[in-house]
Amino acid sequence: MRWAVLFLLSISQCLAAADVRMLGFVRISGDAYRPTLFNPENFCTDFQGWTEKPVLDLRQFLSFDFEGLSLKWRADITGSAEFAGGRGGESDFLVNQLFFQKELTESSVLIFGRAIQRWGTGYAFNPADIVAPDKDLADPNNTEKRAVGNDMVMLEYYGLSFSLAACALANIRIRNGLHLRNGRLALRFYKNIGPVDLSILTLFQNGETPVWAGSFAGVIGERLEIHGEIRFQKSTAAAAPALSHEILIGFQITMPGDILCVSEYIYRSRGLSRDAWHRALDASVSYTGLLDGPYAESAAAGLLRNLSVFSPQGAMRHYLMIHGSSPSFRRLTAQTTCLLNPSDRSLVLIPAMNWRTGKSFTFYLRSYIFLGKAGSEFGEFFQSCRWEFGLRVSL
Amino acid sequence: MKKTIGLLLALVIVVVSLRGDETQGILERIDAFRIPYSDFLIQVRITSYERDKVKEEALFDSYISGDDRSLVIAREYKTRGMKILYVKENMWVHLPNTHRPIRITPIQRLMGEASNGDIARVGFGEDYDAELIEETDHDGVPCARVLLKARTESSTYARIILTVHRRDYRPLRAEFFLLSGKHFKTATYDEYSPIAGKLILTRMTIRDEVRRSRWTVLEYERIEQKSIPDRYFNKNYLVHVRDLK
Repeated sequence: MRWAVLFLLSISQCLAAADVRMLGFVRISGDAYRPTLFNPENFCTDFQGWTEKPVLDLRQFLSFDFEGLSLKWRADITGSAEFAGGRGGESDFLVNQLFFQKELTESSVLIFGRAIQRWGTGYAFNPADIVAPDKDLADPNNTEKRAVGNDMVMLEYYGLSFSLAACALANIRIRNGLHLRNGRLALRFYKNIGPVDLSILTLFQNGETPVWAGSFAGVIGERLEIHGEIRFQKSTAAAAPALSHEILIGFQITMPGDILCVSEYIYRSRGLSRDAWHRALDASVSYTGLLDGPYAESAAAGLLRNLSVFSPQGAMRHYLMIHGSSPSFRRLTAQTTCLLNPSDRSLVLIPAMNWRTGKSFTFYLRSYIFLGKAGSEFGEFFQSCRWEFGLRVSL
Repeated sequence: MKKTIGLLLALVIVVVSLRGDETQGILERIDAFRIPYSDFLIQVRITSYERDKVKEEALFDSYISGDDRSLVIAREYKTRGMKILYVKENMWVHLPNTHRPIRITPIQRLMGEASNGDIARVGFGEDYDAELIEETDHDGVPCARVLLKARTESSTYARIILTVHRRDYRPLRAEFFLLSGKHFKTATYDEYSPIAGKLILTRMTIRDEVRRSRWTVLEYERIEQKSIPDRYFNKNYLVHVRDLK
């Protein structure tokens, strides 16, 4: 794999047809831990400086766009390599997108291959995004890692103020023959009515009831944008409510001084209530109590994953996200994101500052601060805070 | 008596409609200095200054179609390949390496003192109603001051006071106001060049009225007749738009 990355790095600069982007990060970080269920080893410390060894992280993004055989072709490939002090390097190679596009008529386009489609209007949450590729939940901090697309055939018709899309998706595996799994059909009707975008979406999938969804976005006045999404699915499980639903409502406002503020609230009927969360924690206390050492640690990690704590999926029924960012002042920008769980009033606060120097270099300082009472979602997280300081190089 | 009232009413209607035609005529004459063709491409170089120093520079291609549609693509910018679509009162942005366009508000700054609407919109006729408020002098030139009032709240500015040349209605200066009434920015129309047999604006400067040390210069480097297919003005097609040459 490492050879593939090195090969990619070496040939990319020679490809005139490709859009080549290279990102490099050098960062150091430090953490503070607290004794919780997710920290069975009880390694409890206050923040003691930059304790983690420096990490060098290189990513090469290649986008090829070319026309041939009256088709447009596109490929997005990512190669990444990470070198941490005291550890060897780790590398990865991903084909994020590889598809061809054919303009069938002046108003209709066919896409065939592995492509990334994002539907919906939300920023932090997208319940209506029925074609979104899966995110890497194991690494929610890694915002630069691009998703790998779905294998699909998509036909979209573009009218003057509307569009109609039909998208057949499947997981294709070529091993001992061609295998199609998890076949799905997604449809979207989009219409612009005055200052509002409206979309109706549906997803049909094998062995499951159809998903119905809708989204809207509109602008009110000169500063305010509002958006929302809704998703319904009839439940087949006997114990579950007859209809599961998710509702998102949010806004974006440009405040005086060009400060941008985005806020979103999401309700998920399938999410854990405060009582259900405590029951899950109690069950886990009994389980991890039977284990020792590394087993307990892996059980805690498994619990984190199962509950989707601190992930875009989330575990709980309600979340409120607030994000604010300032315009550049002497090349300095500041931003803060807050994810609040209103049920137990725990939150994670992510303040960050960037200082841009030259066209390609940005220094950044970012922190993740987990606040809440013991037993609450973010209060029970094994870290109490994490600080990162780094240099981002973009070429 | 009834006849007299009828005649008076008819006279009022005629005067009002003449007045409407007259104000609409003003906008057409003003816009003629910015719109050389029905469908065209403008290449805009934007340089933003702070205390006499260049802060940022960028080059945008703006494809204009009719009165109410435009597609702006960043050619040289920190987010090269960024696209802004403007259809009627709607505005969306698509950033490179993302997979869907998002809605933006007209007031959001594109770069320096230039808002999205300053780049994406070239004419006033579609968004504003005009009213002649006074005749005056501007640097010794006989001028008229025209008040433009936004027809919808989603126009880039709520109110604009435009100073135009009294003879041909060529814009010389514009004062931009927000819904709150705040004087937000001032633009001066610095240079006109002959294009397609007409005088067309080729350079303007926008000054921030709050932070007076900042200003942004917009230079229209290339203006040519060009039309692109309708699908390029559909929000969902934005993700497929590549460099248009």
